[in-house]
Amino acid sequence: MSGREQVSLEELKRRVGQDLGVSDWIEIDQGRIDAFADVGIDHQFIHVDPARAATETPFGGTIAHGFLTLAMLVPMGETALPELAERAMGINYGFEKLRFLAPVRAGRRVRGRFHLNEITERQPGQILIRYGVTVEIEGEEKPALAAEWLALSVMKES
Amino acid sequence: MSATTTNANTQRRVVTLHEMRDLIGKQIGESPWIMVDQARIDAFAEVTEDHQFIHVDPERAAKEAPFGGTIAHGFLTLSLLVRMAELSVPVLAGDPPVINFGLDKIRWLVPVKAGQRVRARFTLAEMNEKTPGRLLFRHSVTVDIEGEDRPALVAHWLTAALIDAEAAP
Repeated sequence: MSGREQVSLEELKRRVGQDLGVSDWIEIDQGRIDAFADVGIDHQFIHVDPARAATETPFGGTIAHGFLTLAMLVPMGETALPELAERAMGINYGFEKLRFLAPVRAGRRVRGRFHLNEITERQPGQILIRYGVTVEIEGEEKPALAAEWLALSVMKES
Repeated sequence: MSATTTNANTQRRVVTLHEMRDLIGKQIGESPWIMVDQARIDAFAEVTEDHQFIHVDPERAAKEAPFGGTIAHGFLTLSLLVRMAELSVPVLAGDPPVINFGLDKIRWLVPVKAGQRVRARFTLAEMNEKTPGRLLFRHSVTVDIEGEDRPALVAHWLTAALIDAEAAP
């Protein structure tokens, strides 16, 4: 987590409308999908039964849960996004619009691309940042998902 | 995108397309409570590589955060929607595959503390039959926390049932 670019709020504001970064690739293998099935209590065969998924679905095997791909936005943000110097705490605030566009097959790698849509001060000391996010699948044209992600930064008292 | 079929171990109400139309605008499901304990939070941290102390370090979270301990990842609470729907929302006759299409306006409102139980309530806000072979559903969902007034999250959840266009009444 060290080595991330540190930026001030003023610097970040100048990047509104620009791409902020692309994350490292993260592999979504069957082990990760199985573990997610256990923790999220979603054991549908399309996720956890490779033999049945190969014969009964058009994907040739299992696919990741959409919510698993979505949750990977957190580690993706850690390698793609600059760190706000004045931030004391970050809160996952919500999403405006989120669409799962293509399934992620077991064994594929995905990465997050982040665009800075907007920065607003919600109340003194609280900055709401809207990111346009796209999760890309290695070797595929259509992204796994596209969304607008809202993150709230609680700023250090100055 | 994730397709689904019903699990044999859940007993969901089966409704016809006609009956489903009558449910538009109504609450169609209230799930049982599901425990979000530290073990589930730790497992979620592992699989999604999010090990922030607020989720996985009870001692530090008690001292440095205002919640008296650890809280669940917002994405964990959200992910439980699939199971909560499976336990409470009626399925269409014929059990067509259902796709998780997306969500609109997700807001995490109150953190879920480790050891609390959550449940979801589903209202069928819209059903769109314009696309041949596809029934598009918009559910308004609320995830309640046991014993708390304000919900953990609210959202609109979009799903699509892949139906046999020929067979639809």
